[in-house]
Amino acid sequence: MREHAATGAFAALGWACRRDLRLAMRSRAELAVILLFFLLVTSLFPLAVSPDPALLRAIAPGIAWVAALLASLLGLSRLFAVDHGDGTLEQMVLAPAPLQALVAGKVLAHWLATGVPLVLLSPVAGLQFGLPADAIAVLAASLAIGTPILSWLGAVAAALTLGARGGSSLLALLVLPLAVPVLIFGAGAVESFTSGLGADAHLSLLGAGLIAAWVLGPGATALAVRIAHE
Amino acid sequence: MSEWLAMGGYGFYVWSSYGMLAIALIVELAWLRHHRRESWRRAAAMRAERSIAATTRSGGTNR
Amino acid sequence: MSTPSSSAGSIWFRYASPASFYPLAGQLIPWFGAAAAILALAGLYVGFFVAPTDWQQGEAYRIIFIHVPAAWMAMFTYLVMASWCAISLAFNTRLSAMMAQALAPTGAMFAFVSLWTGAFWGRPTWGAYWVWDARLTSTLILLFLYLGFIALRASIDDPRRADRAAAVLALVGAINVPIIYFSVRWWNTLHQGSSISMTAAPKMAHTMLTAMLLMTLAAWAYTIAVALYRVRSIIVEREALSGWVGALERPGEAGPTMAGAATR
Repeated sequence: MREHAATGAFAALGWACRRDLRLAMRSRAELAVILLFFLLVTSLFPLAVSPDPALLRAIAPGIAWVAALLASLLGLSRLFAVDHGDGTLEQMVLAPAPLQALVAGKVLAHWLATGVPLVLLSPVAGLQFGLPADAIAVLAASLAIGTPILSWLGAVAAALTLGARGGSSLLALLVLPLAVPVLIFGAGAVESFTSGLGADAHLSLLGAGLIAAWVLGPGATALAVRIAHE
Repeated sequence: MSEWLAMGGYGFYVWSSYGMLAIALIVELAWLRHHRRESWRRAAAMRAERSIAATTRSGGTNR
Repeated sequence: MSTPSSSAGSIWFRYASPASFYPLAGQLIPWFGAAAAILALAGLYVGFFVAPTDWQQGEAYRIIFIHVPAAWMAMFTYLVMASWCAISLAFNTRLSAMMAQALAPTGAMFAFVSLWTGAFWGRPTWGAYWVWDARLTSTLILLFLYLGFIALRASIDDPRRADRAAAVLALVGAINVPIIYFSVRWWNTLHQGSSISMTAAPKMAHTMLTAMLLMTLAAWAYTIAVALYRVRSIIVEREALSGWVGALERPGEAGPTMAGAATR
């Protein structure tokens, strides 16, 4: 019986993930916009600050991280809103499959569709700022561990703001303060690496955050989704 | 007295700090009073609305 | 969602309904208000006329008598607010959520005052209005957490749904606050070293600590008084259509106007 329940949860997660990925593939243009936004933001900083290579190399991790953070905000309001609009989300709430698993599937799909491309695109940003190859690797690793955490923070906030006025600016107000530790440890990992102290501590802390996000995220997000459907 | 107000040359900083606290407290207390009036007004309006709706339902002309 | 009647015995449940809490709050407010005023006067007296001048910072240090209590209250109020949110989610009670709603603006106010006074203390002491000190930066993020809570409440129309959504947000924030503080402290010590730190206050004379303690207690009493006052307005707003509100006298007008309006 327990085995059946476990396969039920994983099956639900897989179903929700595949479904959301399929929907994401249909609106590939929106995903492209998010990636272009990321590159656009990283390009703005040298223009706004200075083209001095040493300065750019120093601020590169922070800029790449802030740009990734802002870019991942873009897709968040649509995480639940579309399904909420046509009633699918309510069916998920009422379904026998565990809501936490369905929600986790959606968040996983969101990360695969927006987070992973950002990780893959980060070397471009790194090259823009003249980061050496090994620093770029650390940057990509920090983003790989950090972007799922951002997806979970965003998911909770997106579920809480379902049906609320204020849209994506309210979402940003809610997510950004909570994302500060991820930002600090993510960008800090690269800086720590380039200054010779090694990125292990930062990346381990990010890893711990990732585990915490996956342990606490489904419950909190499912609760928020249920609240939106009372 | 003016020597005390000068706060050893730091008067600007000390009184800007205490001044902002005073402003914040005054604003909060004034807002409290305003909020209270508003809630009573709104509550009265809601009750009036409901009693009008009740009397319309029970015997008023159909509009 | 009906709360246990007073026959349940314990004080806790007797006052868990807005109807019975309303008059209790009204009786408590003058006491806490008076306590706040007395403690503040005592604290300011000790702080300005008894405590000596700091040999390092001169008279500028006297700002700590409001900066530290404000920072402490901002943090403490958030935790109390989050506790009320947890109770409201666990027991599905309205009043707990209303208390959280009542605390948020005061907490935000103290966070702002803490930042302002921190800046005006920092300028003469360390040369800059804003130093990215760990505590100040965490307080800034705390202010954003408060504003997010208030904004989320304001943007959801149904009050019970707003209660629950904001409660989840407050709890997520509460879990994050120590993480945020730790991460900011890590970030700060890595970059600036411990040369600029507002937590490394000058070795404090006994009288300075006394003044700070008095002011902190004053801030605490003030917060309770203000929150009780605010929650009464919130109760009236949200319980407007219930019978007991109608029977109450409207402030500033003689006679039960509310009951009169209901029977028209």
